[in-house]
Amino acid sequence: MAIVERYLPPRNSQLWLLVSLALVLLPFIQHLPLWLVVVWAVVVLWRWQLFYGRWSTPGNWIKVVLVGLSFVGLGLSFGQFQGLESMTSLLILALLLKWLEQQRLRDTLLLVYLGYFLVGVQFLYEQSLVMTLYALLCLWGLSSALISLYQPQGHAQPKSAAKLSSKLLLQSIPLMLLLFLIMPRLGNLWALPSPGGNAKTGMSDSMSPGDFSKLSKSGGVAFRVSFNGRRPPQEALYWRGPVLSLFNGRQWVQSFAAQNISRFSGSRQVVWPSHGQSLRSDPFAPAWLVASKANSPPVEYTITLEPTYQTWLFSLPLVNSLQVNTQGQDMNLGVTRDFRLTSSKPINQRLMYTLRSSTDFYINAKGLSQQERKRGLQLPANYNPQTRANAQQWRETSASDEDYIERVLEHYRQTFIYTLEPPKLGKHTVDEFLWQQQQGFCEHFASSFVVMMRAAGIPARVVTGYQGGEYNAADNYLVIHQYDAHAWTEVWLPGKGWVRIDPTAAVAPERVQQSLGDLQTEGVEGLLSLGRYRHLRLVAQLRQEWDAVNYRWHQLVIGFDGEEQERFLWSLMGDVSPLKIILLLLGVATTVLGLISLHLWWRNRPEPLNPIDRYFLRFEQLLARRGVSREVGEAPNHFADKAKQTLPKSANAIDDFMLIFNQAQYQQPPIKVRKGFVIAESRILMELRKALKVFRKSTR
Amino acid sequence: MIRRLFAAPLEFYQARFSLWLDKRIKPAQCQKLDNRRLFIFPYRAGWGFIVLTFFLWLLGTNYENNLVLGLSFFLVSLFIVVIFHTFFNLLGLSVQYIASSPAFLGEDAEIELEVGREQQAKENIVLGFKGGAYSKVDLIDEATRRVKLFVPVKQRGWYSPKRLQLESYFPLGLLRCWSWLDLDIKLLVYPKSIASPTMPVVNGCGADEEGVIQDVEGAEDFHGFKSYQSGMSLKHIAWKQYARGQKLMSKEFVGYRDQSLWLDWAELEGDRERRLSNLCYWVLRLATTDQLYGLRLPGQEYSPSTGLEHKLQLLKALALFECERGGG
Repeated sequence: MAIVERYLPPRNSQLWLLVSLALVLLPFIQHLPLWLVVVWAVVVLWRWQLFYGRWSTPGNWIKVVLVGLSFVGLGLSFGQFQGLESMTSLLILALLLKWLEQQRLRDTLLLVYLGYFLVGVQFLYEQSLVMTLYALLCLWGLSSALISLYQPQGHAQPKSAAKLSSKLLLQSIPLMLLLFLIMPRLGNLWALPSPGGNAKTGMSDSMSPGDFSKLSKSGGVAFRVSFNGRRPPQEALYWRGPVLSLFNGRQWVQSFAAQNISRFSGSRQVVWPSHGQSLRSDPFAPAWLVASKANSPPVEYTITLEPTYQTWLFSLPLVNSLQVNTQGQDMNLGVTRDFRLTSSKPINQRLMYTLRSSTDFYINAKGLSQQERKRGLQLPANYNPQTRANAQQWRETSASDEDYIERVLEHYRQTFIYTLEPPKLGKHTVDEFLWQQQQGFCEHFASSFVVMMRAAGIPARVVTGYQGGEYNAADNYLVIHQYDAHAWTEVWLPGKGWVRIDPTAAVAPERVQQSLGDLQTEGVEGLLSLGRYRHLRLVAQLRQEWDAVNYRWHQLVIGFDGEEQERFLWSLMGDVSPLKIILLLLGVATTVLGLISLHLWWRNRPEPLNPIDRYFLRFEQLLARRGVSREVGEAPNHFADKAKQTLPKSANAIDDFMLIFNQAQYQQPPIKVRKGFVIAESRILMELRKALKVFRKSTR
Repeated sequence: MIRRLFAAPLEFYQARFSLWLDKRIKPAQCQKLDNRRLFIFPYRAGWGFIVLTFFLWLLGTNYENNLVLGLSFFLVSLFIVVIFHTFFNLLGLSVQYIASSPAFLGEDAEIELEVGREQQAKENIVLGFKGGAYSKVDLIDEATRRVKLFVPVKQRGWYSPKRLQLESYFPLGLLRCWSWLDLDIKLLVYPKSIASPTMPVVNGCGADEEGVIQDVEGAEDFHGFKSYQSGMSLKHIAWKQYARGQKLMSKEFVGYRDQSLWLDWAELEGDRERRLSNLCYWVLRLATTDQLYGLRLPGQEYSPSTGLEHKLQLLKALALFECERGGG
């Protein structure tokens, strides 16, 4: 029937469309170019004016100009159409332009469907619990819009659509959960662009003054760790990231070999162990790996890393074995020659991996290769002359390397100040920091310490990563925030190999024992962030609980992959077979849908008969059995007269019954009802029942 | 071309289907929609929704994003839940035939129905006969509602319109739930009214006979005065005479009525339908006057008279003339 296509959607639906599309588009604002937001505002304004009949629908030339301008804008913003952001923008642009000219039902349907799709696209950017709840709100709005499309024109209450839509949504949830639990996960079918380019914060693979203090102002989560068994003390938690050994006077970067792992993988710069296998037991392990030695039993822990869009990962050295837990991602992890973790592809999604590490270890204890030694002593020629001179003089007056190191650390301890907002530095960054300003953040300490070491002929390097973390007692795991980012150093000593020295700890030991977040709350957390108010006990507890909920959400829902699913189904029914799954599906679906239809049937039941009518119906049925049937619309008295002629024997009984029936018709309601239960019957009803009984006997 | 190719098999299956339908939904003037009478299937918007769900599933699978997958499963389960809502929206709806008015061939006949519900409100019900206009009904506040539908009539005599089509897209427009009801309606269809140049009256019984003066209300020709009595129309008071000092008089008007006319089949030319159409025209024409008129059809004769009943009787005779098919 073509009627539905032809008619214009009711006015109410315009309002619902306005609300639901606003809900859907709102979270995209941060990913959209500004001009697209302007287009959105124009379209909303136009629709608003249309709703009140102030403006008319845009003419053809306006549409053409708008489409042209928009595509120019798309071209300027994105260049080529690659990546998720440009696709999303195109989709949103299409939606907005369609909305501008939307008139008939078909257009509106398209808009609502695009809205549903965009709710899905939003999940590619963010998968938090809050976002999911927000998406439910969007779904509710869109479904209300869809309902209002089919409601009568004059139906002025948007409330009825809202009510029905929430009902439909609630009824859909059980079946959705069932499908979510048992539908097989196929894994990605083809490669797709991922959100990227705008990675907010995170560690980079270089270090220059100011980088870490910037990072330390972010309260975002870098990763979470749950220990399987013993948790090492806080001051031992140095989460190793990129190792920086090249210095150009201002910036520290990774060595050329470390930057180009893939090109050097032939020369065994990195080892890609198979899952769970012990690294050092591999007979083909390269010499540098075999030379490392673990002195303590390993601790086992699982890291859930937030997307970094980079190829390095964080770990506690020294890694003995590793295993990727997130299924479906074709991701290999390896250990590099500088004993950090690397991945075969950038980490664009949350990744879970389990490691076993020994926190007490020796690396390269037997000696450094010529090349490594050269790299460990590299310094730019024309920078920091004062530091170099002082370093050589101090080394000459020290008995040993250890003495010299202690002397440098003592220098830091005397007058240095650990601060998040150090003064700006000029050309000779280390000179100015060490001998003039003496105020700095971890990067200043690490950088200057390494320069001091190298100038004195001791191989040294900067190690970046995170330090410590916040322990969540509610769920027994550790959260490492961006503000836990840290830089420390390693020096090479004969017989001991690379030894970790943290000059920051010399100045501010509390930095290592507590979290930076605890020390400098105001600098680290935004005004609205719960973390800012963590010194209030209740807030602190709330914040931990909330983080625990989020962690569970990620573990249970986001991380529910094929393997988790298999485990879940196995625990549910033991041996998993297709037959069992189908039976489960049918069983649950039948129950849920049966309950829904029961509910609908109950609401749709006929109006209960008035008790007098019920007795008359009984009377009618008794007579029908004797062959006297009542015509449609026949008056009761006429019917009774007809019955008397056919059954003269019961004529008296019929007369009596009809007399009482007619009396009852003109009386007040014969029963008292309270909350659906009959609490009192009038006398006449009892008489009517008696008369019916007499009549029944008379017909026998 | 393609349509022609499929015409024959299509007709065959339509015939089979209509036989099956006749067996499944028996004709009755009052029907309550139950499981036997209702059909349900995804509508166009519903197929669109399925495609959307599939795309979302593809998106979720490819990105291995559980929440996108969850969304697609959500839409699937919404679709399934909506099936029940759509079905129960029409279940238990009663449709009763109330009345219909006769129509002239080629025009639309009016049929009045009453739709009624049980306790639960019913929304978005579209009903209509094929070829006629559709009407949208909602039973939200009131339990019953009368609907007037129009159906084009294609054949003179007793005509049964095709089945009443009744459908609903409630609540999301994804599914169409519908029924075809045979409400056992018989419409009387008069011939189409077509003017002929001359009145088909029998010679010798025409207008040349002397007319008879009759006192008729609403007639136009002035005849004389009558003394006024209370209750007479004030419009007819002769105010001029009253102003001259005469007593209150009422003007009297009369119509001239000729003696009875006989509309005669034999006076017309052309085929049967043409003659019936012309006779129909003259019956309608004469019915607006006060003329006495009768009708002669082969084998039938209706003596001259006037009034609404007479007119309807003659029109019925014309409608059913040589029209054996009682049911149509």
